[in-house]
Amino acid sequence: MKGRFNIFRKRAGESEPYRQEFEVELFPGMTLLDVFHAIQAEQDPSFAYRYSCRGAICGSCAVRINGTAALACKTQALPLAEQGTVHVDPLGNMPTVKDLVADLDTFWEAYDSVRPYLERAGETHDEVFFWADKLDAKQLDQLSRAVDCIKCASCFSDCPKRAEDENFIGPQASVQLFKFFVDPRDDLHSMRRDAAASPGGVVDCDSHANCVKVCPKDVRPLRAINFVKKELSVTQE
Amino acid sequence: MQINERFNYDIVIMGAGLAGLSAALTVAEQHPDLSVAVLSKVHPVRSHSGAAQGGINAAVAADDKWEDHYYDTLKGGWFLGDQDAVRILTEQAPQAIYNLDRWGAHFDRDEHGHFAQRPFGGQRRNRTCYVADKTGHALLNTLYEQAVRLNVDVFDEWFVFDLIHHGDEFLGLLAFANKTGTIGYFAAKTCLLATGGAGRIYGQSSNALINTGDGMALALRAGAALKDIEFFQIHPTGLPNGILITEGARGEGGYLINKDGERFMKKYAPQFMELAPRDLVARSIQREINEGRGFDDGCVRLDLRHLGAEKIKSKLPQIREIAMYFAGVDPIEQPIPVRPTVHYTMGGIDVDINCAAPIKGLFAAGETACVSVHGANRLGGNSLLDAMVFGIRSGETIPAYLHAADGPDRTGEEALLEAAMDRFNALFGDDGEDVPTLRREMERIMVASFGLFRNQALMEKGLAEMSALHRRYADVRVKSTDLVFNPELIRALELGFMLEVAHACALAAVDRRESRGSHYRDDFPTMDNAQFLRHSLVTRDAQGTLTLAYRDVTVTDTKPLDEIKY
Ligand SMILES: Cc1cc2nc3c(=O)[nH]c(=O)nc-3n(C[C@H](O)[C@H](O)[C@H](O)COP(=O)(O)OP(=O)(O)OC[C@H]3O[C@@H](n4cnc5c(N)ncnc54)[C@H](O)[C@@H]3O)c2cc1C
Ligand code: SF4
Ligand code: FES
Repeated sequence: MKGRFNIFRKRAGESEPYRQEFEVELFPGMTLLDVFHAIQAEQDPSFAYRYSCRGAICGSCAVRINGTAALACKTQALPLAEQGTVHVDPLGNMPTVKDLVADLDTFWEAYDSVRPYLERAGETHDEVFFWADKLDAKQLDQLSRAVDCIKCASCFSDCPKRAEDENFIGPQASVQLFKFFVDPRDDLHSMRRDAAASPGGVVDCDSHANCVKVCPKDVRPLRAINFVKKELSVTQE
Repeated sequence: MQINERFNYDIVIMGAGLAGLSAALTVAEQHPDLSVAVLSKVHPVRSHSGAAQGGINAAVAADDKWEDHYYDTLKGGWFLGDQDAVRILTEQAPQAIYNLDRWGAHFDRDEHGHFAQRPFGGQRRNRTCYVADKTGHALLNTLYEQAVRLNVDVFDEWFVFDLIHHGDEFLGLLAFANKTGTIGYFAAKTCLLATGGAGRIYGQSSNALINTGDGMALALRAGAALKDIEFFQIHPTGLPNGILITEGARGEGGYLINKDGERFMKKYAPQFMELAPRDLVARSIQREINEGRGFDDGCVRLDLRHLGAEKIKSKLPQIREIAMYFAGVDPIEQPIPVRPTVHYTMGGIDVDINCAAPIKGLFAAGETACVSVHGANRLGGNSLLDAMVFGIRSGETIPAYLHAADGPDRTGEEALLEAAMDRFNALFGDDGEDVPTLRREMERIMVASFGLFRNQALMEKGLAEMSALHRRYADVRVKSTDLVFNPELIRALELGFMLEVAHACALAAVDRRESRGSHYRDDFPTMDNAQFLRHSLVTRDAQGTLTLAYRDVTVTDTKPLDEIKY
């Protein structure tokens, strides 16, 4: 069948965005990213969008599909198009560079702001290491989810709190902070606590939980946020 | 269009996968006085290294020896690997793991707190360290995190389109920034090419869409050789669309089944069964399909159902997810349709064991380089290791080179830049060859003539077709002159790079009249050490004519076998 795709367009430099409809012949198994490739190859060679792995592991291709952030490469096109015209937009909470390419600078600034790395004084590795001794099962599970994050920015795009408060670091950066907050090897624990508790930090999350819904890797950012909040409140009492 | 911005660095690194980032971190930690820029056409965490699932090999267990890893690697590579290089790979492997652990990687641990290790094909013991089934993703992110910690200058979404050299001396890289359209010249004393593989020259590939051999082509055009470029590993198990189902699935005990319900590997490798080396498994599957024992969809089946829901969910969650999203199949309930898919580029830029190319100041590491360690066939888990070990090593040998050598002589640089910009500008115009059409034709030729089963007639035809296609590329024109996220331009440049690699592969493949590892010919079905225990070397002159030469394999302490059996 032919699918109809109503796509946000914006040329670089020119200010006014517009929308354009494309018709694409669909086959079973075809993803929305395949649809973009078909449009670029056959209808408009200048159509711009991000891609790399086409296997839901690099985080390049997140866009808004019918208003909700998702990975184009992980979205089957046929079932979607059967329900009617598919509307595709660049990620929200960020400016657009061109067509479906969002300007991710603010997303990466938030990531950078949490010191997104392990800082340890000892220069050696751990020959023997017992994760399980230091973290409980729930923390371990959430840590594994944090490692899964592919930095696709879907959660950042669809976070209502970030929409109203530009200082809020957003779900991904909160997950990134959590990743080292619970890491027994990390030396920046008190700095991370202060950052989490300061304005715009993890504590400012209003628990809308959109991040949990849109995340393509089931990272559950809100859960990471609640872990941090809980630990902050426990030690304050 | 002209150069808008100029930069000066001691070291410019093209590529931000495991190889590029580990080199950058090593320099930043050990030589903070040296200036380093890392350029990547995608954000570093989007690099293809992130797609690696299964793991990374190292003899870290108390009862394991690097010598065993060394021998398994030599044998797995059909003795085409240089023994001095393989020694470095395997002897330095534990240090690479320790660095990653120190930088924050979350390797799985066993009940004693030691690195957990899983079995991988072609090795006599469990030697593959892993982070669940997201090893590459976890390691790539760890390296990027540390690059942020060490304030490495990362130019992300900068596309390198030309390499400037004066004779055999490296001068700099030309690149444009996708976000702003700025054209930058990165003058540098040294350059590390870490651009990954070229699997995309085949239509059916597990590689990311960005794996187009850019660094290989730039090195070839600059006068370096591509070594053993006829060797492309074809992974036995890809989904119908090329996405990989990792060897981990077989490592955990998955069965390969033909349409008669038979575990057919018992005919081809009774001892190792599904864990035989990849080339053997791939050809076995292809043979089953070719001889009519595949299913109607042209695939065989990978059956995990007997492992049970719990094991599949805990040990292979990513594989399950991939099968569900990209093939519509839940492996807990149904076997997964699989067929061979092009996976790894064993050949690459000819460099010595210090990662140095014959061009002064030019180095290469990772999948884009051929040191060579993988020989005619890479063992699973050895390529993340290659990227790490030789990435780290180049981070040590480049500073040593800088210490010993003066900077390049820059007389004549401006004229070279002008000529390069003329070449770039000539790519734009209204009427020309269509990129998607040429690309499909290249993919078709590679699959038809240089796939799992090769022979003289098929390859001669393929080589002639490839030469003709390569000539047509000169007429490609890009209509849109806006450099900001211009997919038309990027795809045109990538096609140009891919054609160089594909053409070199075709030339080297026709001439290798033997079967060795991934290079399997039905007209010469056995390996021939007397004639071909040699590396192929393809070079290109300024007119674009390719020439083929050979160099003996480095043998230090282990006599190559005349036949490989598992
Ligand atoms: C699906 C899959 C699974 C795998 N699983 C395993 C495994 O389990 N174990 C294992 O050992 N190996 C595995 N491999 C192989 C392994 O992932 C790669 O060999 C390895 O990651 C290569 O790393 P690299 O740093 O050399 O290159 P890459 O990670 O590919 O990085 C290349 C870099 O070069 C940059 N670049 C390229 N061209 C340009 C340009 N023109 N301008 C600017 N930048 C450019 C890219 O942006 C990128 O940053 C797997 C491969 C695949 C396809
Ligand atoms: S938490 Fe999920 S949605 Fe947010 S960036 Fe990571 S993978 Fe994407
Ligand atoms: S292209 Fe990598 S996540 Fe979609």
